[in-house]
Amino acid sequence: MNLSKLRRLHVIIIGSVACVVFGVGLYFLLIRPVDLQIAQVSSELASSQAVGSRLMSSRQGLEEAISKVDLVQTKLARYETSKMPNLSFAERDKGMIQLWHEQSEMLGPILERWARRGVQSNSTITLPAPPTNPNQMETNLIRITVGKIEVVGNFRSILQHIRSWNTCPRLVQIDRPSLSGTSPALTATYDLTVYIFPRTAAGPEIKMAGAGGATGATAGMPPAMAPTAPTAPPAPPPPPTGAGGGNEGTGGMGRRGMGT
Amino acid sequence: MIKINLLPGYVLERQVVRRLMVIFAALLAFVVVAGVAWRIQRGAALANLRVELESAKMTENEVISNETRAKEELAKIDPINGKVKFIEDVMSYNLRGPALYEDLTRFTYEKVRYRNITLTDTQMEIEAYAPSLSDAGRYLLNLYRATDLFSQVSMSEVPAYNAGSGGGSSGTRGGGVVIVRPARVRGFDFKVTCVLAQPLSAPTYGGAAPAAGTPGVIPGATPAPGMPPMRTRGT
Repeated sequence: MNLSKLRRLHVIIIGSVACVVFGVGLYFLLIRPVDLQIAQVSSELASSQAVGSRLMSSRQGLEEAISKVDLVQTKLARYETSKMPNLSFAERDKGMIQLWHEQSEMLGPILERWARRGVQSNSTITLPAPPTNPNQMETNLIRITVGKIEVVGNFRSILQHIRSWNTCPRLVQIDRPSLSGTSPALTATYDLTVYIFPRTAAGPEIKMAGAGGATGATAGMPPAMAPTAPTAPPAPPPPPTGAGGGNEGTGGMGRRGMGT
Repeated sequence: MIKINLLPGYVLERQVVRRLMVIFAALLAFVVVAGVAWRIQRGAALANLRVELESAKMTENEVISNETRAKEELAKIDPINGKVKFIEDVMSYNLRGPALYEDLTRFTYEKVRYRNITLTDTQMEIEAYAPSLSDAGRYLLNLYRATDLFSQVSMSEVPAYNAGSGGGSSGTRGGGVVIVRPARVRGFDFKVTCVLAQPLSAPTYGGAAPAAGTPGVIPGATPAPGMPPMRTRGT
């Protein structure tokens, strides 16, 4: 290229344009992408810092939540210890056997003992047979309808008797107590229902051959024939439903005796 | 001394052009160097921000984890509370019947004898015996005053005239004066139905109402005669 024809004006123009082009080009090629990344990272940082500013309150909130859960769990555990048998359906088959022991061996004697508290009981406690299909059991809240109970006593003893069901080691609901007769030999009649909360959530359904087991009293296993769990202690005397009464004050579930 | 430049003008122009080119080349190099330096500085700032962001992200993750765990923990409370509430509701429900009977004795007139009291979810049916109309009336008026217990009280049976309770008599004395002796209603049974101000509703768990049992009526129970009031306090 022959530079002899370039005048100073040409050089100034070309040089200025080249500087501007290089400057702008460098900005857009090198600087601006980094600036954009910085803006994006700054935005993310601001957002993260806004969330991070709640660190102390979130720790405190978590501690409070844990303590609240502990509080209600303690309350429930107290009721479970004093009012519920130790049933767990995490393994449905084992839980069902536990329910058999409870419903066919333990519950009857307990109810019989409480039905005589302070009054004369005219009723025979009869409990429905426990279910035999572990996949069709109610595993959330087990409701056992005992039926009508009739007791005789004076006015005060009957009212005290009804109240005393709240000290029973099972959760018992007394429905519609009625009174008749002549004091001091009043006759009180009421409906009795037992509720049991299993300790844990139910596990998955188990595979069964045939799965033909019926539930409840219609085709359930007679209490006296309820099989014994492999780990269970030797079977106590059979419950009153079926073949004779249980032995009061002796525990079957390894938890507590009845005698209080 | 006078210097005379005898060189032609384009020679000077070339020198100026050459200098200008050097100047602009230097300027261009400066622009490039400045651009690169700026880029490096911004890159370092970006790296610092990234380090800071990483730390902030860790804090953010901890916060989110804490909040999620707190929510999970709090979600456990409702089911547990539901069980606790049900247990407590059942236990307080068990006490309502005896409390109702004890409250009833406060409004029981001593000469009235109860034969049978049946409690349902919404009402209390009382079969009783009163020695006279006045006693039954006093008893009924007492029950009317039990507004904290009953929202409505109705009596079903009061003996009618000549309906087995003995009629009155009338005769004439000398002088044509008619003497009327009122009929004496002797003891009679009656029935009072009291609608509970606060119905007895059995507790429910998890929104599922347990199947209601049958009302606590004694099947085939025959009221024994002369059942005294359960408590003779009150008027």
